[in-house]
Amino acid sequence: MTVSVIPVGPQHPVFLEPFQLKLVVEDEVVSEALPRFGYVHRGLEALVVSKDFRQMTRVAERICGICSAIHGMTYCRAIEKLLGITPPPRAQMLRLVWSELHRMHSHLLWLGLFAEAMGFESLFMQIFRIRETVMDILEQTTGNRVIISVNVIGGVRRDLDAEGADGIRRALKKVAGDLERIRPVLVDDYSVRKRTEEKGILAKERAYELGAVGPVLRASGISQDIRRTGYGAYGELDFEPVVESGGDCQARCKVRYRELFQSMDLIRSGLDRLSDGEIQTKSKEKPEGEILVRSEQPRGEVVYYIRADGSKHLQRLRIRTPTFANMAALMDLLPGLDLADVPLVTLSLDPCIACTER
Amino acid sequence: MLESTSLVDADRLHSHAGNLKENGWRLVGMTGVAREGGVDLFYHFDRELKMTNLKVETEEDETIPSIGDQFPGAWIHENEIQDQFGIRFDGLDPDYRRLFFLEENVEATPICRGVSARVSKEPGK
Amino acid sequence: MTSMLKILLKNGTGRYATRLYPAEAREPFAKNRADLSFDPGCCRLCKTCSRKCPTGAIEVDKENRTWKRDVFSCVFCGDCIEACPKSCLSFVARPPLPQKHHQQAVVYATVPERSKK
Repeated sequence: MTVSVIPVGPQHPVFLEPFQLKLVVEDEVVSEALPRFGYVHRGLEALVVSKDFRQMTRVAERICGICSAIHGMTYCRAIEKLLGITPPPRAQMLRLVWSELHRMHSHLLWLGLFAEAMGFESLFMQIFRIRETVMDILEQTTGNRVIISVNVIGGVRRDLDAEGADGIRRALKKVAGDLERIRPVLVDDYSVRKRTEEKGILAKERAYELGAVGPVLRASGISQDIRRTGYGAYGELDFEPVVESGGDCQARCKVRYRELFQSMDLIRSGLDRLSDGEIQTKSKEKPEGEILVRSEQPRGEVVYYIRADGSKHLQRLRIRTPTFANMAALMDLLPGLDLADVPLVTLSLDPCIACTER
Repeated sequence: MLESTSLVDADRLHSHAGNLKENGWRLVGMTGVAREGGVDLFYHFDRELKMTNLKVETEEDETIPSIGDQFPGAWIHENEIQDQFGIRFDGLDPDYRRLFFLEENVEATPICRGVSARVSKEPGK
Repeated sequence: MTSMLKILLKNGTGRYATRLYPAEAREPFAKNRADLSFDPGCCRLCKTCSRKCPTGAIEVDKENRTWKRDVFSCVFCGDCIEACPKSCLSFVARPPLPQKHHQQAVVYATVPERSKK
């Protein structure tokens, strides 16, 4: 038996972001994996000393491009709780619509990259074509494609007119049809199944113990979704978390695929319940106190801890991102895998290094 | 003060964490907050969408026991706290010796200004 | 296996999924945040925009009566637009053309003197 160490990354065709895995390989089977981070560490948490709490909203949005809207929303919710203000119902519902659209484009991005990691280029193109519809609708309603900057402390910045709401409904209809068409490829295709089934199995108990979050945890059979706590406008809508029991790459793929349809349902019922009225509550106060706020991001639960002392600058902002929590699960999954499966299994947990390191 | 937070001593942390583990709580994350003469450490736990927190007030030069043997996902949080605040964790595995996010030449503790790092980057110290 | 083939055949025979760009361009959406326009005529040099800017892209000089924006620092968040008490700032939907020199990446405006009424 030959033992060798293979460094994967920091630049690797499958990992779009820089992090390094040192894989100890015994005859093509990984026996140990050691990650190395620090390539995109930006120290965003430490920026609270130089930016005031309103400017930090823009920093929070830029922690990660893909979950931008929900990062901004969670930060604003935390500050609003400290200030003791509630955004108007219309603003809450608009936040829901935009964060679900964000979840859709994130999941479609993941599905596309997953197909690419399998070597299925044409499926990747097909999924990115569907994603473009979602990106267009985001640009049409907010003005930006990815970092939509709609959340401000006390509400939202952009309003949605009847025309915009109709545009979203039309786009969702198109996306639903397109997604339905690729379902047989993702679920039944022989080569896709061969590549994803029984690969990288994360058992239910192990996933919970390691603190995995989001679609990874739900694919292992645990029904946990922070949206069920009913923050914002989520309390008005009724939904069940999407759960699969396999715990392998196929299950993680199915969870995200089904969550796309769940998001579309949420957006549709959100648009139907959109009430008229103000979109911002203004406040001149400064935040004071300690708070812990959680939201469900496309990749799982995000936790914001804020300590403020009533001045313009926050004392401490701590962000526990979902990808950071899933990293422990990933390092537990890798030993025992074939070397050829490492990129796919790594990608199936949706690692985002910009989030992980902040 | 955070809701449902209990203040524990560093040497009793292990038994408190063990209790939570037995009752099916999941480690959500850890937060360090700098204060005069030390760091406040928060351990966040979740069970069925309810949260509970443990707070440890560390003094300078205090070593905190790692809860990695009870919660296998804790190493990633502890390594980050070690990077940011220079707090030493006893029994941390794998121990990155403050090289988790930081470069070799960084001596300062980024979030906790003015406190010198207590973990040496040299192996074996 | 055949399921993907069906999609591919449809793609091969159907319309283009993309536009033939320079020949056929889409009109920008009305709410697009492509550029920031500044109207020096109504500016009172109150510096609110430069204080609110999260990236420090805007510099206002009261003595020389100038207003400067570094295009590379600006993130088009719109905080200055909301903050401006005189509504001198607004988003432009059409993206600006590429610039040849770096200096042109700084938007520079001199605010005219106002006659006292």
